[in-house]
Amino acid sequence: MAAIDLDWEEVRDQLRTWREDNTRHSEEVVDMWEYCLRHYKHKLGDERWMVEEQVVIAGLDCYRLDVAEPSLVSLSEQFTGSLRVRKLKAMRLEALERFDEAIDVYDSIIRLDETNSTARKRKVAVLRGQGRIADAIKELTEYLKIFMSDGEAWQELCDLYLKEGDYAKAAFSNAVLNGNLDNMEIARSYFCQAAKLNPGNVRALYGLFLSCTQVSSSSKCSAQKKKETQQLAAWALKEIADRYSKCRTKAMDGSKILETFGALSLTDKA
Amino acid sequence: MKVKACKMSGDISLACSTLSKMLLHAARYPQSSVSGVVLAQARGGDTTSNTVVLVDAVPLFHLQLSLAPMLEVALTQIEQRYKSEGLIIAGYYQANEHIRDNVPDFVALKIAEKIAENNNDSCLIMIDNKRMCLNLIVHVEAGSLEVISQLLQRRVQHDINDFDNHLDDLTCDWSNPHINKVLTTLTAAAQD
Repeated sequence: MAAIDLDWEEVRDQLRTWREDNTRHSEEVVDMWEYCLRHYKHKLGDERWMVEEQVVIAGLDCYRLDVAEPSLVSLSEQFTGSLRVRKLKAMRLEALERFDEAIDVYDSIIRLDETNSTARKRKVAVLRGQGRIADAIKELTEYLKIFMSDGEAWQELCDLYLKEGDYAKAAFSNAVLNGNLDNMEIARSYFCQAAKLNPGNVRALYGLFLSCTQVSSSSKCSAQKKKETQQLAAWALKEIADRYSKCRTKAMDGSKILETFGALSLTDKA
Repeated sequence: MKVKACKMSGDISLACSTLSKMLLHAARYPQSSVSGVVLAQARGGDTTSNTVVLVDAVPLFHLQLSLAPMLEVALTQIEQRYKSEGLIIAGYYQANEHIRDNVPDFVALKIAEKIAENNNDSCLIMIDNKRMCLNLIVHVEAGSLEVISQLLQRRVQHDINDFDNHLDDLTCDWSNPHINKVLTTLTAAAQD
């Protein structure tokens, strides 16, 4: 790895950026620690402990216990009785697949600090790791009763429902497509909203195009509505082609996209 | 790594690039399920050969595997892109999120079923996460596992693009020409 040649201050800044962005980059963190920052930890000041915490989590992610454990030891020596360190210890148990022990530790954290959201979320992760999806859903709904504003958790709940194939409930947290016209129209308006909120969202534009095509091809659709919907579909398609023409890739260019999907809408007009 | 394939009849054979892309895709997103399709030469009327050669793979999703609209978009684009090369979609692959789970879920079965409606020789491939490591030992096609091991050691997995990446950033090309380039170099080196 090239990390050996890196300046330790640069490495420190890089790790800090990742911490602030909440992105893990576990492989890189392990490398940078191992080949570089490990030798400069006394120069880091108080930031050292944040870095070591990051290294523990990265090490556990990559199952590099040889990297995670020394840092975990120094953290627990520095902060005796800290709940944050206790959580890391439980994560180590998770990595070792000692799930029941990990749950016990998380429970002990929650007993001491009821507002500790991380411990509760880790419990959901443990259940998921064990493949107990139904239990994970139960735990997560309990969590959401307390921490309602946690968007990430709602997203996770949606994921879990989709995993179980429970589309009706998944739709509650997210819009999902279904075959019939009513649902298709609802989906269409969701896609519209998404495209409006973020004009760069290609998924929304594609979704809009597809749902419009579906709605307009339905026999239950009135002539007036059919026309409007087709116009909307054409608009979405044009927008998509615009996005593509701005960045040429070999896979698809703007003119081709019109050709490919234009065929879909043409058949509907007939 | 082990590839478990279920198919109606005949044999399937995986080209180096197919297997590489599937495994790189799974390695890039170890925390989530990934899916994609495999391509084969359109056979026309020729039914003499019983072996389907899967010549390439297109990685599709890692965010949400079970939602239909983007799948539809992806499949349409793929069909269009490879038509001129005489390639057709010949199967579906999936690696589940959970390390011990290599059973196809209802999503995998459903999509495989749809593909089978268009292509009788299609297959469903599940990647066994447990067997995935830096030194692959199962034999598929001579030399290809050595090549893939090298790719993983060089962390090429971070360069592979799937359709989700493409939707996030249109400049990410899901046909992965840059991976093909690396593959050509590595295979050439292996043969020397």
